[in-house]
Amino acid sequence: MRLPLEIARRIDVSNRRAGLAKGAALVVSFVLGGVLLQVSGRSAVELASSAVQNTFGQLKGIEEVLVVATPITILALAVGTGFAARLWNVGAEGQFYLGAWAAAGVGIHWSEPAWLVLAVMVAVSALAGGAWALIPGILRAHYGANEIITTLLMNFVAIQWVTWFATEIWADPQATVLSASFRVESEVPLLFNSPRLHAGVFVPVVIAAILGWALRSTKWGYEVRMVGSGPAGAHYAGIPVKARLVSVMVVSGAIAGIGGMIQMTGTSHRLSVALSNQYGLSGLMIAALAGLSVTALIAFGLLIGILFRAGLTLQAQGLTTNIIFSIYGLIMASMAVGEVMSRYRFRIVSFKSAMGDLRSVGRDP
Amino acid sequence: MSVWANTLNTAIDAGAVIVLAGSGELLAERSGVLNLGLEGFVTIGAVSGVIVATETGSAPMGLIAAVGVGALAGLIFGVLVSVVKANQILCGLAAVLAGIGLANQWGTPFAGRPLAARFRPLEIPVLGDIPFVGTVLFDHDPLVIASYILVPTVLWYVLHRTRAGLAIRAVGDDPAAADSAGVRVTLIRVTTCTIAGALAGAGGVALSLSFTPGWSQGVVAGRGWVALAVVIFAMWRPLRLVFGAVLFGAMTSVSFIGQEQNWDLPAPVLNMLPFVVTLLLVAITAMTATTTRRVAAPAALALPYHREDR
Repeated sequence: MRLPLEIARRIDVSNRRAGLAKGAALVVSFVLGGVLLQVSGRSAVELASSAVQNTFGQLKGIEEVLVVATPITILALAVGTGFAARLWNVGAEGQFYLGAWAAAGVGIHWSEPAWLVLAVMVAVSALAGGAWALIPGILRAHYGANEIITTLLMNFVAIQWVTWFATEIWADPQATVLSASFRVESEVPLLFNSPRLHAGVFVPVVIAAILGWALRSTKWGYEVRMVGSGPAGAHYAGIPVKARLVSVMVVSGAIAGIGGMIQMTGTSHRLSVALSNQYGLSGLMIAALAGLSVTALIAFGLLIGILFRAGLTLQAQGLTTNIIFSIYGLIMASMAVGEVMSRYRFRIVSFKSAMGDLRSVGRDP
Repeated sequence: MSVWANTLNTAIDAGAVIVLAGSGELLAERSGVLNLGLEGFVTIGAVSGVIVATETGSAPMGLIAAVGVGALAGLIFGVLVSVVKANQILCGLAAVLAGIGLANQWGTPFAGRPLAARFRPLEIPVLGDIPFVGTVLFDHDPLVIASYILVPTVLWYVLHRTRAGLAIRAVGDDPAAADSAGVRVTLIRVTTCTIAGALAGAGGVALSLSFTPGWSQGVVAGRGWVALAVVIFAMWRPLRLVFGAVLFGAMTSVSFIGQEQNWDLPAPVLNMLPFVVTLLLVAITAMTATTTRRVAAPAALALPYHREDR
């Protein structure tokens, strides 16, 4: 006796179906998250409506969404760059910190003229982030060391490194914020007289445009995508696989480093370990949802930005960002399951034909 | 007690979590499942241990709870990756996120509170009185002693001297061949994942009810990731794992002693030491790996097994 359900493997999964599976995964995880909240004795509907109220009910809420979406989208672009070659750069967080650190090193000691300082800061932050990613890149490409583990371990080193500078070497004894460095005077300009929204919000769009072009229309991008779809095949096609893997890692790190610089010069203006609220994890989440499309990266960046901001406004109700990370976990797991399900066709067959199946048992077809 | 004896004693205590979580990971990886969620499992174990130990006033009850919660989480993970055959990397990262998120949420009321119960060093007669060696090797609580003596030896014996171990290694190296021989691939993988979760839960308790002790956000501080790295360094062999764990423990211990003794090194530099050394271990292992030694990695690691692809 079989279930009245027929499961057959699909030969080819269309992009549209894969996208649908991801959308379904998002919906399922939100519902599951809501059920979990309800079970733990809180009204999910009430929480959601107050989160929406705090996020979209006022101009400040929308500004804050953009402010938080900026670093996480840049980090998502960094992680997404790695995905092009099937590399998991889980160390974007560390490269973000190193970028901010290098930018602070310039900005603390030099402040005029502001535009030049900002330009130099972008360059050094990209260099620092790229250099930090170079180590796991070489280890992976040339020696086969798992980049997920090495980049993650390097996050812990980077955070201690920044702690050292923020709390000792560059520590500002007059800072109102505890354990932060001297103020970096050069700032990314604010937009529309807003107290918080800064011009850095355009940076992810610019990076996405350049990255999209580089991956789609350059020789480098083509080779990287070849490596991503199969290193052995790429090797036989004469592509220097190791060099491409290292370069992807470095570009990914450089993008993350610029993210750190933007975050520091746009919001906190000081180097501290509070610069990122685990934005690397959000970036990873977005990149996993978006796949290789830069448009989708920006769109999901905004979506996760909204989710993140909503989570922050719930702190008054005794919920913390931890809830967001739990929901990320749910999204990732449902996405993994959805990916498998999109590869199969499920068809409900009538009970009768299931029985027919049973009758045919033992007979030759 | 001399400083050196103390340092080595702390090194062994600090390495216990790596031995426990790493042993579980090693078992799962030997069956072909890469469980990247270790950090999440250890965190969940740590908080479960503290909550139950505080509510019941008993450290062993805390351990049992953590092992149970860890096993349940491992079972869910195992079902996702080997029954549903979902992507192991995504599921692992999901476990990290969900594990840390849930643990921090559950643990908030218990953060920074004094513990009602914890594991305490045994007083071993005769052996414990040997100068130096007694302090280093025998001044530990039962959980630490069990995690060093019991876990790796049982793991080694099961993997290399029993029929079940042969089946596990076969599933990790060539699931299709194992399947043909009548080995139940999915069942074995779900089982190893469950055991791995249970051991990671116990590892969490080795932190929260023994080494640290206590609960606060970020108490695990990357030790789950270190355990993953140490498994690579150990080249999937249980006894080498113990060596790697003690090495990591020693670095943690040195960074403690350095801060205690006011060495002329800033605290953050001392804090990054264990991670730098772990990173070096992974790098050196990868760089010195020859073809024969690279074979140490299970051939089907992180690959889902689809019978219809055979």
